[in-house]
Amino acid sequence: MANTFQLVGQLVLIVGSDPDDGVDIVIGSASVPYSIANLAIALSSPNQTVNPNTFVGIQPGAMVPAASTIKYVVNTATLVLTAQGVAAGVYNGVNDLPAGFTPLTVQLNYSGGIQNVDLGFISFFDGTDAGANANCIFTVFFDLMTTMRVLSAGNNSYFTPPASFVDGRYPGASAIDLFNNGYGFEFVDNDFPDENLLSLDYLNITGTYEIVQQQTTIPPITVQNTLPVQAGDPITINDTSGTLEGVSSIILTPATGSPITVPFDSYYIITQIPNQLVFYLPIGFGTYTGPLTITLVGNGIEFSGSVTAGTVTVSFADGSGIYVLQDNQPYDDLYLRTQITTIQELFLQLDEDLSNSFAIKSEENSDFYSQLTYPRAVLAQSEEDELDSFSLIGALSNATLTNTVPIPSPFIKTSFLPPA
Amino acid sequence: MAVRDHQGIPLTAFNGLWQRGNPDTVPVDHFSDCNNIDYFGRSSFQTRPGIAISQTVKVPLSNVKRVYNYPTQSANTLIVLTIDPVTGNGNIYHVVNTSIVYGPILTINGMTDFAFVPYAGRGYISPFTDYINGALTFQSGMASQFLYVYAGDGTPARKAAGAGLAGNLTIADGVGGFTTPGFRVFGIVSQTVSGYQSPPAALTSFTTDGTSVSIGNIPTSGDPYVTTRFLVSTLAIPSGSYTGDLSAQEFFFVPNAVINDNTTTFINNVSFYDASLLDDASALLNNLTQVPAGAVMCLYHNRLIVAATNTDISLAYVSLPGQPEAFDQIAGLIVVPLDGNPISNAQEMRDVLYLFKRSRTVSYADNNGNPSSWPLVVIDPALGTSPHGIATVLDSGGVNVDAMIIATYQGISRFNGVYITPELTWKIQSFWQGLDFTDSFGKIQMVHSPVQKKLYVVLPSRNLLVGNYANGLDYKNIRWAPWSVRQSISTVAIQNITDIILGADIF
Repeated sequence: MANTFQLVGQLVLIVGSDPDDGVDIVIGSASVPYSIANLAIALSSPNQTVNPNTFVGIQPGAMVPAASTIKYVVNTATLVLTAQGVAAGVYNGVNDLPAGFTPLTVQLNYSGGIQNVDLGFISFFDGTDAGANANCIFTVFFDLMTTMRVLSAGNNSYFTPPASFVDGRYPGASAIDLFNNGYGFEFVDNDFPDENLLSLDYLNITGTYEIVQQQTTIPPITVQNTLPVQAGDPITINDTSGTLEGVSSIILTPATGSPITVPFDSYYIITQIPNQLVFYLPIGFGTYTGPLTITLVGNGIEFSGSVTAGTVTVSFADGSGIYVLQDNQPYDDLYLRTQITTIQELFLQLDEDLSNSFAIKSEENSDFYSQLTYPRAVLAQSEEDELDSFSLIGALSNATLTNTVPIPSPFIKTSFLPPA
Repeated sequence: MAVRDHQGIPLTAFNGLWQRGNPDTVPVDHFSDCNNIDYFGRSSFQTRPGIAISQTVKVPLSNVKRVYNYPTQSANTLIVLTIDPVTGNGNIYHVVNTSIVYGPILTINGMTDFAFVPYAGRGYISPFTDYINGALTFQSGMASQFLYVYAGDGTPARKAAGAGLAGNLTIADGVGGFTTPGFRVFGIVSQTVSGYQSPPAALTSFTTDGTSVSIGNIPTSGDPYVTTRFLVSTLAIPSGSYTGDLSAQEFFFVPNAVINDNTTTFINNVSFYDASLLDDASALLNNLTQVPAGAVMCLYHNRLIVAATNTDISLAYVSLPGQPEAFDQIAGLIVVPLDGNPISNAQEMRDVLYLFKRSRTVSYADNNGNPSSWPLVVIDPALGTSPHGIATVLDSGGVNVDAMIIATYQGISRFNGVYITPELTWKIQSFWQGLDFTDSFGKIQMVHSPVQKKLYVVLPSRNLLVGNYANGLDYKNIRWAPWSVRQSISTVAIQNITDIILGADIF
């Protein structure tokens, strides 16, 4: 059994010949003249054997404007979905439908009449004109945009469309059109206000649908960087499914603090091809060190929504300071302040006959520390006569080194060059 | 496809970035986008120069927020603000060269920026910070903070100006000598090492009998920067006109009654006639004893201007000529018409003082009267700039060839008394107007290197925008190029004519 839907709807009377510029009047509004009240009565009439919500009509005596449209508005209608375990339920309007709802076919059924009244689906009565004098025109729209059929009839005529028709019979009309634009009739009476009866038999709109799960997984997107990154480092994302050209935004979310959106411009996006996206890690994370979740946002073409590409670890390295532009230097030299550096070395107490070697070793170590380019302090140093089997020498420092990096992405883009 | 017959389009000129309107309309001799390129020659370009570290010390300054040139008598040095990310303390250092750093010479918690004016070898420092008004971020002097003066020698900066001495003099007739007989009021004016003279204090009345006078119990100052004290006196006050108010008098410096130290407590046998009392000291009575910090400072006619204080964002204090710490709190004020925005910059050009707000430019001209009497002229009611939005020309202010280069909301414009349009950034109008100025207009800083014929602009995005005007300083011929750096560029300065100094912070 296919998934089916039924529209249990709401009618709108649109005043004006053009469905798009008319004034929408929702049934039940007490502030509008014409037949709204009568319609309400009709809808609640105990004589109605059909679902009152599917019956529409304007009772005798109700005045219908010279040019009107009655429109079945789907986007605010109640929609009843039945399904094989998928999305069954009652929904209030199109916007309330479950994600991925896609109508496949639609049927507009006119399967009966009002009790004791043998009217067709649509009928009208011209109170004074008759025969050749009648001059009323019905235009039946599938979606108020695509003309299905035009009927010009005389007095006391009725028009019955086919008992049912399905999506695709009329070019340009589709089930999706119905949901987007509704269904309705345009009524033009060139002898207005003679006519005083317009009646629509009950209408039942049903169809089939499916839930199209557009939530595609884009595996496997992988972040190539395995080592910690710092501001200005390129981050490479690979994707074997080839959807990375559809990325329109990159959001970087730290474990603490606010997310940062990578400016999607030529300065930050180095490469964007279907299988690879390379961008510079922007500044803005301050002293944060920790994981950074990379979320890719689609442009709605290759994919929509967002997908988590993975995480990288940000390692804060303080490169701030005073710099000077250096002509003819094809790279940037940056300060690189590392975290605390500790140097430890174990000394093994030696036999007497190896004491000379020990002395030499100590001297070498002394030279080693003195040659370090950054400040250091000896935390503990055992005197020779206090040496146990092991002793510890440590150096603690906030080292400032330099880091040579390429100048980020020098490039030009020419103007649009017309054909010669 | 007939490739054989294809005729190439020779690109013979590269006139820089063009980001204005539809990208399809970029002229063929311009770039629709570019980054990190440097123009040279008439129509060539190459990768921008690299940046190198500027300090060789073992612990270079970090988290640099602002750099100013500080020309001293012997060198062109730098004054640098850093912020400790842990404590929030703003620390100002004096970077003498690549290996010598003094400081911090001033530490203030919460200081995120400062104004700086070098004067006679000293440096005047005014700490300021951001404040938010609605959706916009402005700058004004820090609350409960003041103007500081730095001697330039590594000693800590101290609060400018100062209060008068306290105490009462002991006065007696001297031995021999002469004075004009009569009732008068004596007082002491102290002077700091930077030349600031305090209001007359320790006021004491005495009637001279025609002989000299000897003054004792002269107070010393707790301020170690006080180096000199002067004796001041009124003319003989006619009988019946003295109201009993010691300070409501007109004081004059007594010739040769000077104590050139801060320890001596007496001066004996001072002789003078009233006719010799010519050097008026009365104006010192109205001096501010401490000058509130402002976001704006400049020099005009040898006067120091301090504007946009925390409590009076449209007020500018104007010092006495040649006395950058002496601000007359009555006559030394200028009030720019109030519009809810603070004064954001100040600059002298062609003998006229221009004051700026973010979207307003006014001028005042020295009429040889008190600053409060200087006439106001509204130059532009729509265009203004930010605290660092006037391009510094080398290390000497913002005027070059009779014009300033100013960053406004509409773009970067030359200003020669009026804003010249089209603006210099006309070709990159979309780029400029795409910048986020909501809370970052104050982050823009510009320097102008006439020797290199380049403008360097620090953008709110913490990258650089560089304009090369070797082909002409006008909107058609200037060639623009954005420069990006891995670090967050927060400030720029020029040292030694051509050295472009960049400051990077933690962001």
